[in-house]
Amino acid sequence: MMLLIIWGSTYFLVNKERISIERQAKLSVGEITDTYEARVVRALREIDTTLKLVRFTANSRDHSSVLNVLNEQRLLPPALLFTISIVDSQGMVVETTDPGLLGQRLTPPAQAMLDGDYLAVGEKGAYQAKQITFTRPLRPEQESAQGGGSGWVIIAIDANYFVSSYEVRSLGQQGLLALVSAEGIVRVRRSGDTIHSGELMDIGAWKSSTLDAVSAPFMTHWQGVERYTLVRELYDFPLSIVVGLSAQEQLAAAHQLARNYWQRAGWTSGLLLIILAMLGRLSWQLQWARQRVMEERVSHAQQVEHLAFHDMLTDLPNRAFLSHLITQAVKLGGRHSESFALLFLDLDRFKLINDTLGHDAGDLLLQEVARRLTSSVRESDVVARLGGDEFVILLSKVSRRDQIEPIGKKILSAAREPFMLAGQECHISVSIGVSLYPFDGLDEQTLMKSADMAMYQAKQLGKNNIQFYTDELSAEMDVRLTLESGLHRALASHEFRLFFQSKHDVEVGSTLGMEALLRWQHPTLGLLEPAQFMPLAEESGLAMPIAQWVLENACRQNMLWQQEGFPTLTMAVNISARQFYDNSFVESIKEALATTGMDPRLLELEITESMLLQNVQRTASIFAEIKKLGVMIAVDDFGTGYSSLSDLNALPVDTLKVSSSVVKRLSGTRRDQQLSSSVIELGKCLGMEVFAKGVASHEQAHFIGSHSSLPFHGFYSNEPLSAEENGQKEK
Amino acid sequence: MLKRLTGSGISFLLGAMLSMTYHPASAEVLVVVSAEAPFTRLTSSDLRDVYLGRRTLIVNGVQVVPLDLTEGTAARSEFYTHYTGQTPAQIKSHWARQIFTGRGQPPQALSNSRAVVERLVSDAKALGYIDSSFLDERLRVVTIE
Repeated sequence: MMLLIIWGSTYFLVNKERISIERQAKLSVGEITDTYEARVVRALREIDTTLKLVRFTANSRDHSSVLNVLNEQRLLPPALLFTISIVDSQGMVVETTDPGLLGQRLTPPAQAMLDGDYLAVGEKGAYQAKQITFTRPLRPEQESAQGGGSGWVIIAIDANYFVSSYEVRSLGQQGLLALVSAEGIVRVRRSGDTIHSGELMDIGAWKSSTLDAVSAPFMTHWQGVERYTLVRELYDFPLSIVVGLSAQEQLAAAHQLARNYWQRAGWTSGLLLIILAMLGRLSWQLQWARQRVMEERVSHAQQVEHLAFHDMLTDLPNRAFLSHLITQAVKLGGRHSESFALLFLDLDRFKLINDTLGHDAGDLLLQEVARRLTSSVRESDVVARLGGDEFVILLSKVSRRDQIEPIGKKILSAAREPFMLAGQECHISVSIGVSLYPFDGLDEQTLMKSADMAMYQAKQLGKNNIQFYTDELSAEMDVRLTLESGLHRALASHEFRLFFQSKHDVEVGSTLGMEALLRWQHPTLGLLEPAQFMPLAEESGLAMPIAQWVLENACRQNMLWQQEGFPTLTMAVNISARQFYDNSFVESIKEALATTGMDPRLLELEITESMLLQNVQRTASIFAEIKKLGVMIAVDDFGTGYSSLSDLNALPVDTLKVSSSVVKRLSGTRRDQQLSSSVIELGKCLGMEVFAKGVASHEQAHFIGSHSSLPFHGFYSNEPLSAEENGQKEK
Repeated sequence: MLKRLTGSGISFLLGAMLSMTYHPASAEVLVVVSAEAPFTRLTSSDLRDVYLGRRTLIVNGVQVVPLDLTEGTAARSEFYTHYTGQTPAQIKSHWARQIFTGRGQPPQALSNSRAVVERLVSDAKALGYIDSSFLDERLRVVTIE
């Protein structure tokens, strides 16, 4: 477009310039012609006047001094250029301004001239220069009357006189000024600095070729030169003037200009192209950059979306995405009656690993689990992470348990493969709960809940297994939920009770102490044992407050009994592992004692044998603190675990409660009796009091009492009673 | 220094020196005026202008009428060559042009130095050139600067 404009306007300019120069040339041809014509005519008139003057003078005076007389009067044109001669009828020069011509004989002019009185134009070569002659008869009237020859007056002038006004400045080297005779013979012509004559110029044809050769210049092609030409026939004289301007010369400037214009157009185009190329390149770069920004944005958006719907750690679909997928599956299932399964997975020992090996190891473990899960299922199945150690697998197009079970087993065994974490081999397992669409739920929420319940059940059933949702499970769960919600208000509404089991001396059978046992008097479910609600309490963070309540109330009850006048009894309280290892444990004991004012030596904390084993060092330091308070320590269910004897020896344990299974063996085979006896003996040897547990009947108590060889200090009755009942009994 | 110049350089130098000092073998031409004339000095450019018809007044508004000799006389060609630096042909061409274009007339031409002398004596405004042999006390030589 721009190029078109550039070249178009250049063409237009060049054309305009050419036309204007052409017009200018034609105008100047006209002007030059006008001037030239005027000068030639004036020159010719002067010549003719001179001729007539000479003739007149000659006719009225003596011959011999006409020219001298006239010259002295300064009536003749300068002899320098004009040679005036008077010739007699014989052709003899009788008088002349050029002394060299005197006495010469001249060829007479045409008879016609001598017959009529008019200005005759001729030419002659004088020296090297061509001369033009003008002649008039000396005595025309007389001659015509006599019909004989007569003299004549002649003026010879250098031909170049008539073209001396040629100016190279305006006419150039190839212009043309010419005086042409009526017959078309060039009398004199000047082009540049050269003078020509005698050529033929067909001015007649030129004049007829154009309408107005007098005032409108026309183009001629003469002697190889093109010219803007004007031809004018002179009035009164048998001559024409021709003026021409070389078209080539006149247009040379235009051509030069045009060349400049074209060159400039070329340069501009080149520049334009370069600029365009640069602009193009820039815009291309800009576009490219924009595109990159767009791409980055898109990829960023994709990333954001990915992040929104994927778990950062494992890159698995997250809860939101899973929810979407399940909703989708439900929709498809509804339309095509396709069933699918949800597997709810929970890692069994994850918290422990996270706590002991650190979060980084936990993260690595989760990532590895994600990998194993993904490779355990089909490509079309979805593995998602809900958060923490919970995963969900969406198995499409399965409807029966026997289709799911193999997959579940595969997952279980994949999870049991050892993990390498922080350079350590770790073992975990998973618990899996399964719900099936459309049998166990028709919407995402129900299906998830069902699977969750089944998983919980799997946990309850010892972990590392797979459970399917059943309606019974749901009922159980309802109970569980009832308990869970009840727990929160149980403390406040005083639904917990303490029951007591007495500890008896083996010989006299008198009561030595009491063991406090926790029960929950549930408004609808009745009396519940700790095993039924304590795990829930631990899960809901109520374990510690409840334990504290137990400790305090046990002490308070003991004080009450003392105040009522009962003999001083010891008070044993069961301590859970969680409570024992809690940082505030020792403080809570102090607090309970302080609140109730009970003698610390009466308080006996019961710890199971398995707890001793968990962390011997820690246990030892806690024991030491407890002992500082003066509180007694008993090991419960002794004989079931595998306590190392050295550990036991290192710990300041006061009492051993021998497990009922050990007690039972006492009445078994001899080998059993010996084993049990040695366990009891061992306790005694370590300086501890040894009591039997699980003495169910009075008979059994009596049996133990009567076999004094049995090394028991005493036994526990197997029948928990309430505080009131115990009070009655003691009385 | 001369030794270092090329041959052509030397010949050019010699030519230039010769042209400056050379006087034609013919008799010397003098520019003269009447003894009564109001000036005795002319610049060479004034002289040239007066003879080429470019002006008729010289310094101080003095009018001058130049006198020429007829074509073909030795003094004339000497005068023009020496004082105007132009050949007779160039002078002729100049006047042809002047006359044809109506711009002026050449100085009056007299046939010999004697005629010039006579005219100068009778006309104080006249300025002429003559062969030195015609110089007499009635005339004064104009110094051309």
